[in-house]
Amino acid sequence: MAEIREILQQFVNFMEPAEWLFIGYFLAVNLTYILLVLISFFYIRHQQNYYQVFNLKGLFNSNLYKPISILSPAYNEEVNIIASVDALLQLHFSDFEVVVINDGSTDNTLKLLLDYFELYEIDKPVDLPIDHKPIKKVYRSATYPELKVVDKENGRKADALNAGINVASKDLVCSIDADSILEPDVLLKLLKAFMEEENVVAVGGIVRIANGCTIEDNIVKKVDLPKSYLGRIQTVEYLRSFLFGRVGWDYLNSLLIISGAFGVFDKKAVVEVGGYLHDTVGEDMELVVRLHRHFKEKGVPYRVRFMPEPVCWTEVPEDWSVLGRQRNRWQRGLADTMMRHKKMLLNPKYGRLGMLAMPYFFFIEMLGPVVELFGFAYFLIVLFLGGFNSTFVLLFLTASVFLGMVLSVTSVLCEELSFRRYPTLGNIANLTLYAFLENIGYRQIHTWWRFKGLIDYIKGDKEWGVMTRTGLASKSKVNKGFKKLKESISSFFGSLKYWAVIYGTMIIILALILHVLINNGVIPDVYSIIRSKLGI
Amino acid sequence: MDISIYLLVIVSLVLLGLTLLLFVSAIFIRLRHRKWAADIDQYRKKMLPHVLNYLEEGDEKEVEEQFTGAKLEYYAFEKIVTEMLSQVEGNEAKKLKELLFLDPIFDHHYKLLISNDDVDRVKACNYFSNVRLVNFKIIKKLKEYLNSPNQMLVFSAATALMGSEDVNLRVEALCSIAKKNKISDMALIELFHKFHSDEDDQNEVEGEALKAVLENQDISSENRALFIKSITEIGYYNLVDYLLEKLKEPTKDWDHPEILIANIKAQGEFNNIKSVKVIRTYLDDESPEVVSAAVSELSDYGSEDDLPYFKYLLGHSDNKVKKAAVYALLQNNVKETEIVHEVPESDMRTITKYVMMYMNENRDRKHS
Repeated sequence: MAEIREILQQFVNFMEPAEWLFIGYFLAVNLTYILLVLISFFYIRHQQNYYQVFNLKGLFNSNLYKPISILSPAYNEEVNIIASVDALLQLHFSDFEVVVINDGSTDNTLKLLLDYFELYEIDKPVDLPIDHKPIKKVYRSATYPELKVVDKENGRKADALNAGINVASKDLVCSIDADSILEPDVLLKLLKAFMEEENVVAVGGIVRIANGCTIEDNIVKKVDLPKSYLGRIQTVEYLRSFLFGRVGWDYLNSLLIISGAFGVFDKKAVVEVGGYLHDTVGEDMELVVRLHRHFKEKGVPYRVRFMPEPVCWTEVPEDWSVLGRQRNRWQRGLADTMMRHKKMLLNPKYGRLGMLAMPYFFFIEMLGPVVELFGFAYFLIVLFLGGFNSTFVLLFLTASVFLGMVLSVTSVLCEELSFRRYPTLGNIANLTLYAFLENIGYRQIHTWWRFKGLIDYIKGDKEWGVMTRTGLASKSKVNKGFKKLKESISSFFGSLKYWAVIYGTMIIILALILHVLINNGVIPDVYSIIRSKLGI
Repeated sequence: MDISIYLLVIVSLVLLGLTLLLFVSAIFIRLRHRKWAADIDQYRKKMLPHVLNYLEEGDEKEVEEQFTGAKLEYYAFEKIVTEMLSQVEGNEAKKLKELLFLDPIFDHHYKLLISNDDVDRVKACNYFSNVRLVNFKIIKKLKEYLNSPNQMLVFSAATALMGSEDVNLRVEALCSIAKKNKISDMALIELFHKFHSDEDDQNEVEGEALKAVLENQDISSENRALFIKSITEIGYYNLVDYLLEKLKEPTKDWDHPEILIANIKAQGEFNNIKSVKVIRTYLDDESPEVVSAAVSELSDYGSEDDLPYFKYLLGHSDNKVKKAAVYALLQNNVKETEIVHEVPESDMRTITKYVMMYMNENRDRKHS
């Protein structure tokens, strides 16, 4: 025991000079967030006031508006593919096509498409400005001429999207996930970005969580919160990330991320920069950063926008291990993008992008988990050794938890001021509750996933990881019987360690509060009183 | 008690209080919104029978008497009428528009128009885009807003002016907007569609009036080209000869590749056989894009006289021209082997690619 104490004490001595780093990091992160919140709060209201301006009269009578190709990569999507493509074909827009890219599926995805949409073979494109794995065949639907299906060798999402871009015949390309659910008027709403400004090269819309919603024929009929703890926590995360993160960066003209689940790009611009990268797991962010870099270096005016009104619904993982893998991949993608474009970091040549957005993503988003994790470890050990002013630790923790909560609840308020997609007062109360709970335990686990992602990136891991989806509207029989039971049991035991962390964090905080209150005489030390009464 | 404990309590209370405040605000906003929606619904139920009665009997006083001066009713009334406007046409639409002209609602929006808040001004512009613009003061204000630094207000004001029956006023607004650099292509196309009246008998008058826009020297060549494309798409046939004259002897303002291309395509779209001779003069233009457009349009007329020159263009230094020449030859039934035979070894690969592209597209077109 004495040896362990000594090792821990050495660690504390070693980390002591970093105390100010933790506090500085804490201040920098929270000040940035507060700044983004304030910007977004006013900017979203400002945008809201002008939503009625572009009431388009000519769109459905003209071919001069920018037409859109929707690119939907599909890999083993037999459960949802027909409903998903059917819904895409029903979107309200004047001139669009749907390009489904069957990325070497090993199930019946292609067969189902062939039969249902009466596909016939057409010639493969001759001009292939972007590289990708070979295209086997290209089909067009006899019933929906605006539907093309590309059958190609497997090469992951980025590769499939590149093939889709080569086959796409319209000015704009909209990349989505195969299980993304677009609202019917989503393209009309996105088009506003191109109405407002001429040089827009990319636009992202808001991604909302479909778990818990009532979905029929791949259309969200009734919005509700997910039932699970993880689903609800992610709802708060997504609201915060989109409604004040991206809105704020959009205002600062420094948006670096457009979600892979839903983004529209100018095809010419994407071809000009060479399309999506194949050897990264963060291809969506990397493409946006490369577009920024390309146009900045060329000195050509351009804009990358975020529009909070057009909605794409997506399924999020409600299983700890799947979520962990997803966050790990996101962190690796972020690190990869940062390292590929490190030239832009703190480089005034790239303006606000180099001096503000890149440092934020590099130091706070990428390196943040390292500082946070060491911070958590340091405080725990110091507490264990009893060499710290416990009131100060509690003060720091309280500020950290409550500030996190204030920021998350602000995004709930932003939602209320603008879109009000969650219909009941109970939803608002739940979101507020989970904004609080998120900071106790989950945040620490999330930091660990991100930290591990960073380590995996350094080790050179470029694997996508298995993403299990349960299917939103699926009436799939795949997960029935014994298999499902086995999965449930394995998921239960897999999640135990995470719950242990959450309850552990709660216990530590409660113990700390009790300790501070007893030490300061706010509540009596019952334990000591009993001991003295008993004469022990 | 230690000072730090006080600090702890204060920080906790402040942040907790802030969270609660935000939460309560969210709840309050939701409740207020619900009440607002319920009030509008109630107002609709109250007002709709009077509006329908007005449409049948034409007594607008009955509607006017319902106004009480409450802020909500202006918004709700406008919403009811604009929703109905999107579903009716002709005489009923005209009658409905008259309702928007009632004194209380008109005065309210006039106040918004002259306010200092851009958001209110935009609201007013949206309203005025639905009423006949005859009030000089309003027109003057709307014109003034065309020069606002706020692009949303500019677009809204221009949209309102496009609602006018006076074609000269619409042209003036279009001209003013087209001079701006900040306006996007699609916003300009949209305004052009708003400029265009749905009444067929207006086409000729509008076409004539558009000459003033096209002649304006302050308009950029991109915007002029865009207008020519819109003119072609909407079908202002009375401008064909005017445009042909501009193609025949382009002045400095008209001698830009994008304008020439739009104009050549316009001649093709209008099937103006008189333009063939003029278009031929562009086959040796210095801009490859113009040459490609000329080749594409001439190929549609199918004159054998042009084929030798198309073959000659297979050796052009620019790939766009090569592609247009290949397409034009194939479209005029020249055999692939004959085309490939015409080109030097160095160009063989490129030309073969274009031949394949044409054949693919053609097959796809035929199939669908």
